[in-house]
Amino acid sequence: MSQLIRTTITLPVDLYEQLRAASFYQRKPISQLIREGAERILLQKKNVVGVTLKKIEGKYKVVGSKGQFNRAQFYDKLIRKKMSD
Amino acid sequence: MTNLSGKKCLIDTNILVAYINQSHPFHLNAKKLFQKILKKEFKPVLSSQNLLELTAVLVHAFKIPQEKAVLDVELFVKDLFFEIIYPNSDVLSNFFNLIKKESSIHTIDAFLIATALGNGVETVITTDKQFTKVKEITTILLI
Repeated sequence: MSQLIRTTITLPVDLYEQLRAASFYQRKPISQLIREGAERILLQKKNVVGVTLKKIEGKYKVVGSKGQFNRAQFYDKLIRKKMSD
Repeated sequence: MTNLSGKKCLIDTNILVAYINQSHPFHLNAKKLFQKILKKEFKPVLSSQNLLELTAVLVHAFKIPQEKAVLDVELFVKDLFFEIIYPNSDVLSNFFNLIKKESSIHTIDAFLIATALGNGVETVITTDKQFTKVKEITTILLI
């Protein structure tokens, strides 16, 4: 386990009582239950991120130069257009 | 590819376009890079300029309606997976210094590099060989 820090958190009384009961039945300290819960949330978040980026992977099929990006050409064309307007 | 472990790396717009376009010649390379991003092998960074350019490509080259294009671009930012950097007060002086020193670089590329340097990002991943001419930044070519 990496280095631990001590912090203060505020919990509703009923949640705290449920944690105390879980701590007793699972024979784990409350702080460990909170750590496990936090790790689970962060893991879910990580997986969602992967899904989000996958949604856009190869979403389009644009062949030729229109499907690519060349910054110099892109801006030069835009500037020429602005100048001729 | 160079060991990027823990490094902040700016992902250039051409990589984003290669990632979303399955017909792009470097699509597979971009997919492999994004696998590394998902495994957190390095710290991926996007500039506001990259997001602006990606939106413009979707709207003007891919002909995607603006309101749909923005939803795609938001996918890159909404989970805070990429660090987003913006031009800050150092950028203009970096930009002027770069274009004085590096005559071969396009001014818009210089502004992107200045934004990266102004935000402590010293590596750029791109398909554009022009970046290799700039000594101030490390360029990784994804080709």
